[in-house]
Amino acid sequence: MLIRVKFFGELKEKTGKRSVELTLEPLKIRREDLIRILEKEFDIPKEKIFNVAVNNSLSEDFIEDGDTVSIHPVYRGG
Amino acid sequence: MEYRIVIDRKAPSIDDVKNFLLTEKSGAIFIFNGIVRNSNRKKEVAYLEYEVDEETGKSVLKEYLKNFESRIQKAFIFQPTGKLSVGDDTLIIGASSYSREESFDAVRNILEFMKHKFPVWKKEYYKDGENHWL
Repeated sequence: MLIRVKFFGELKEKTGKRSVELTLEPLKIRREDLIRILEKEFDIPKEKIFNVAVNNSLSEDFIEDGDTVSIHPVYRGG
Repeated sequence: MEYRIVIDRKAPSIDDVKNFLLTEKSGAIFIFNGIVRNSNRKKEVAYLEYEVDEETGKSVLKEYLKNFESRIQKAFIFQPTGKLSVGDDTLIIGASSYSREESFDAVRNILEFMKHKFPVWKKEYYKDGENHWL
């Protein structure tokens, strides 16, 4: 499957990209699986907990072919 | 329920927020106004930068606000983007309701949602020259 991952903030800075297209073997993956894949592919911080939005929604459990995903930190203090 | 979501560099005035929230049926308006403070992580803060995924942010907030459909009359959410100095307004969240419990509860819950779910990245710049993504 082919998905698009949008980067913001620290991830945009670390990857040097606003977005990437990823071709993955499975037909669908869970959000946490995508984080593991990105950790291997890019130098993203392992100590952070991320929310994964799929097609602008936080309620989708799986990422499937054609989806657009964005990744954000869970808590920012304050 | 009517709502307004503003993602912008410039914060609205609290008077403008109050005027939006006010209805003839309102018995209470509750407004939270976050401020950039001058210290964090035992360091002196020089300024902050926010970057927001606006498309996702508006979408997830719109969905979340459905939880308050029958409980509040209006809601207002301001999320800053770009560079902010110490003393600047950060999050502004307001709600109006028939009596105080509904708007107080809504603002508190929307604030927690923003802190844990809203797609925003925040970077702090310190007076010692260092910086840190939160």
